Amino acid sequence: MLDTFLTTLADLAESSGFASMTISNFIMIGISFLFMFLAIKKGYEPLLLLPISFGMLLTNLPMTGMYHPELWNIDGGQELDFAHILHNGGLLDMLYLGVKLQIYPSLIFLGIGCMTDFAPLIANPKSFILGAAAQAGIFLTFIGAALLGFNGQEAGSIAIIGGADGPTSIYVASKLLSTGGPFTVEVGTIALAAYTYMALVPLIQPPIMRLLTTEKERRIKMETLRTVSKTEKIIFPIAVTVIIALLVPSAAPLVGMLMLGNLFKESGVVDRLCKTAQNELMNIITIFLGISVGATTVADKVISWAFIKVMVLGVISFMIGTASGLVFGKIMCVVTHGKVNPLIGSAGVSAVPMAARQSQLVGTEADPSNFLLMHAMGPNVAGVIGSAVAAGVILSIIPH
Amino acid sequence: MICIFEKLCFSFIDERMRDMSPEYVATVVFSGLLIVFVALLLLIIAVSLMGKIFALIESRKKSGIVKGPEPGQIPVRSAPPADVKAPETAAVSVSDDDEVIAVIAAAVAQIAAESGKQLRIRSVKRVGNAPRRSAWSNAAAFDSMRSV
Repeated sequence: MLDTFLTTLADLAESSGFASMTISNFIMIGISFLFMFLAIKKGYEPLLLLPISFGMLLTNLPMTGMYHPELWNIDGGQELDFAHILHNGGLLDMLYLGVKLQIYPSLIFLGIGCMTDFAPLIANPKSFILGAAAQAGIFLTFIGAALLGFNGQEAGSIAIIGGADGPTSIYVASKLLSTGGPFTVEVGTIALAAYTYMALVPLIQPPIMRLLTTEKERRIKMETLRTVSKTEKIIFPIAVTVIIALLVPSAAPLVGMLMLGNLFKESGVVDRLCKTAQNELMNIITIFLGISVGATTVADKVISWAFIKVMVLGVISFMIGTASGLVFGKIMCVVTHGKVNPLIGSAGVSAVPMAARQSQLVGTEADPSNFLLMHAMGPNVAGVIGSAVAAGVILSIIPH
Repeated sequence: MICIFEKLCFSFIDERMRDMSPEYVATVVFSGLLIVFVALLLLIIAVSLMGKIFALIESRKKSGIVKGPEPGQIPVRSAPPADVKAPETAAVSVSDDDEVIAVIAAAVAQIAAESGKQLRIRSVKRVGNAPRRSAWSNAAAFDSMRSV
């Protein structure tokens, strides 16, 4: 009997996670603790970084069976076997289906649309130019990713980090990295880089803003924006959806859901739907998205030179996007004979509302009586549309 | 010399790029930027046009209100023309409720005509951003409180 008892204990020990732990698991668990610390203690995008980091923890605890990378890594020419995934997948595999089917990012955009006020953009449509300019970071980073040896799909997934939009990055990466593998990057590593740098916008942008603008330019006060009628606010989302969906159909899921949410908000007749979309639905999807994306951050994808390259390219992408927005802001300043403060150009990076807040803060340093926030919100929300359009363009151009 | 320089550059780039040619990368970058700018330029045109159309409609509505309600349009029992002035609508902070302003102006004109007093509208303001009660309910509440 004692032998049976000892044998059972030995079998249990062998089948436990302790016996299967490797150095990589320890390192990844440590990294997940670091991201949890950043999310909880430092407040770096906690709504997504906390579930992502916990998903990272769960997937790197061995023998849990919650996530199976082998179910999702398919070679070129093959398709995902959803029946196999449903039969053999764990909890996080089931939740990850929403990412692979591009459901979560689109629904998050629905909630974002319900929370976004496009009035500053409608009042000053020229802000769209600044939103477009900031997307240069995406395409110029594509060059950098190509030079560092990534293939087209990987380079497109990395480049979209420059859009400074988490759901867009996840949407593009999940589409581009679905077939034609194996890849050196994963959706989780892309999301991790995107959300980390979104949280670091207050650190990344101000030095570039001070470098590329003069004191005199930072002091420019802009004219008060005109009042936008309710009818304009209702027609705007419909018009944007029609124009963008016809021009770049790949961008339709993101832009369409963003504008649907905004129409919910502006119409004023579906208050319940609007409240649900921006509260309960957004929170549920954030939990599912975060934890399932975090689950893809397995050791061999994070502890690699590819991940370091992704992190470096991510910060370069942000910097280029900020700089190109500022350059176009300066051009607009010259063209309008000093009526546009170039600082609002950096807000074209679609980290809403942090980028607009940075424009306000740097502008206030030069002149405490200068209120740039509402002017910067125009390019900021234009950047959301711009990054969604850029995502659609990348998905259209790069074969996958 | 230029050809040699180009060959050196492209050989360096070709070594670095795994599956992509420089031509492909250039195509992605330039066409991507072009399409993004074109799309957002179209949006600028569409939104600017929309703004101009609505500004035109509002200016036509306001020019109709500034003329004021003519005596023949308001059912007034006795209207001494010398004592009634056309109500002036001062700077309004509500941009899309011109019909409401017109109704208020007509009501004030009728009260002025009946009471014989000269009244002037200084401003029309919306009470609160998202009132939980209708404006009529608010007015009734204020009236009740005033009487107490």
